[in-house]
Amino acid sequence: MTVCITAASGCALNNLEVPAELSRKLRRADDYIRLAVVAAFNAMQDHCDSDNLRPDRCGLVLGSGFSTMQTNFEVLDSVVSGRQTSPTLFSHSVFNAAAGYVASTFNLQGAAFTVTDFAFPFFKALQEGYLAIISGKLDSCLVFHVETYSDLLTDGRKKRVKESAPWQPGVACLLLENKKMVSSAAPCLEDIEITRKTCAPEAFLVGQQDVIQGTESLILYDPLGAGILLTELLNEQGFRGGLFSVKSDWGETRLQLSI
Amino acid sequence: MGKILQPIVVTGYGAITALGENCQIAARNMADGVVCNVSMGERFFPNGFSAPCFQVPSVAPDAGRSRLDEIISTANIGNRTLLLALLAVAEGLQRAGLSLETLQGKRIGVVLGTTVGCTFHNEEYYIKWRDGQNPSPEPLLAYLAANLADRVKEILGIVGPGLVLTNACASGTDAIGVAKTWLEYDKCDIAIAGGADELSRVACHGFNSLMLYSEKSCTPFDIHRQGLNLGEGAGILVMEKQEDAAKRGQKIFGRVRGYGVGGDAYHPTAPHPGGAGLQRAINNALQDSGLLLDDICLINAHGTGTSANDLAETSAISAAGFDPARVSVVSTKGFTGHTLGAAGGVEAVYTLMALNEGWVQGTAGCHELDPALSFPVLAESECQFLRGKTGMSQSLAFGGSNSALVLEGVG
Repeated sequence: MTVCITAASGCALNNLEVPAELSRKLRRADDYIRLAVVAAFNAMQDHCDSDNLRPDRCGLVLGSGFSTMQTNFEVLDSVVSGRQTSPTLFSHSVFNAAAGYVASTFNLQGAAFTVTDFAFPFFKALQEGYLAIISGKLDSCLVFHVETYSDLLTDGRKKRVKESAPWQPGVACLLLENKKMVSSAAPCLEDIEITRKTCAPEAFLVGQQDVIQGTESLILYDPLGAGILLTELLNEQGFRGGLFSVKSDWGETRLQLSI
Repeated sequence: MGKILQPIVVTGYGAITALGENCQIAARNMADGVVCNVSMGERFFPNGFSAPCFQVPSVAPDAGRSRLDEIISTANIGNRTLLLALLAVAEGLQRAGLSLETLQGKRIGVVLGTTVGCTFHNEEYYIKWRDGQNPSPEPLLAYLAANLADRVKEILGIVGPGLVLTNACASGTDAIGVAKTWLEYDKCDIAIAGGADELSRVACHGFNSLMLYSEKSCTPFDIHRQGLNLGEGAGILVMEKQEDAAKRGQKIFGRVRGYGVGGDAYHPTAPHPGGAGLQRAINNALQDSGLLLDDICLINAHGTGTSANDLAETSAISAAGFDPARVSVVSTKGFTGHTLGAAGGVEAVYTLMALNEGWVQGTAGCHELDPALSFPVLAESECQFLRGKTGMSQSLAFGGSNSALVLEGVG
């Protein structure tokens, strides 16, 4: 069985535009949830009539390193300050809050997984989404990397990694589908390998990743960088596939893509 | 990438909860109807509120038992969730006859579910930062080094894929389901899977704010139930392909026959009233197992003791078509509290133990069954011999995620 990537979207929080049809649904949502729901909307907007998106056969895997950290601190603040905890805030602080919002907004009734990992949140989510389709559990699967970090983390990082640019909150999202159910040409994910190695925790604050695609190489420092770059490559006219790899102090990911 | 067509067997299991620091003690306490919770006040709840929590009384590893216990007792573990996970893993590996030496050279998959175990809730650091002081970076660095699956692998000195699932209260069940798929698709030789979570002040405040926390001992499925109590613990299955276990002559404790997921796509915190997603999870798990509804003799329900959960869950069990004359339904949360990300792991272990014993204890705290439930549940005073050896353990989670495992005992 082969898995195709039929849509790719990526967006920084400061460029996020919430479509009018989602504004009511997202009126109480935090940035983390809004990024995921809007990315899903953008990835699926050309696929709404697709038979592949049968609700019970469509799922999602959302990866993140820091997940709902900002909202968690807002809840923690109410706890340590002796104020009443907001039930809405608490429910949004749970790590799978965004996955739940995406599932309910788009009526996705398949597996909705959240993967928490500092090293390879996007690629581990991609690996599980790929396996869900290969194993026949799903026909299609949205895969996300969402990060909003937190003010505390940004300050902590600034003190440890003085000369680095601040990380930008954002989202990368892919729609995977079983190739048998895709009529038009689309890039295929042939294989994904992740090799983890032990590293000092400071490495995650530095965030350095060497991204190699074909003969081109790029050094990125933003946890979302590799995911967003991949979405951009997949959307390029004339994308021809090949190896996409990311090397860092914490290991390596290798994606084999074809057309 | 093809599926390996051989059963996935359980060669070891371990669990630590308020009911017992290992499975043997938990089984004895459950049979004796022992409920070990402690009323907590301000340490966990807002001023003026106190309620029971199910805390693990002793988390000290027995340094004399095995090399792994020695490692755990001397390692710089740093957080309670990790310690709980390691203690359950140590028990599981010992039961599986797997020393650290025998794990070398094998691909060991570690899939763990958690909720609290992924958060950075260091209050001292947070308060100092909020107040404009300059907190020492150690807690932040320790948090960055504390991915549960990675740390378990590092401490055990093993290699293979690792994954932390944070699917709220279904995390542990999903971890076992993912591990089953990993073994079936040969991503690892042995899988260590389940869940772990420590008690958390933030979670206690949060569930209290949602008005889901009972001020008395929780009473799942009882007409007077008032909500849930939180607990802590860890539950782990050690899983292998049947041929691999047979090759090393290892005793088998059961099989993970099926796994299914179904989403409600309904509400951020409340289950679908008819349990629509859980029905799909049950059907998917049965389909994956190749078994029929009538093969199931035991359902270890999510059974939190909240009004909405217990109604939705029994509605789903009824609508799925189970026969009350053939299947016993219980919740073990009256003994353990709701251990959140650990719950699916703990309950899979306790389900398998009951299937191997051939009988099940009734639901602690359930004295008068709610007549509004759509399916009968065993009350505290009842215990029942099981009519087969295959059961189901199910989980419902925030975000509308529902999961079910089909487990087969060998007793």
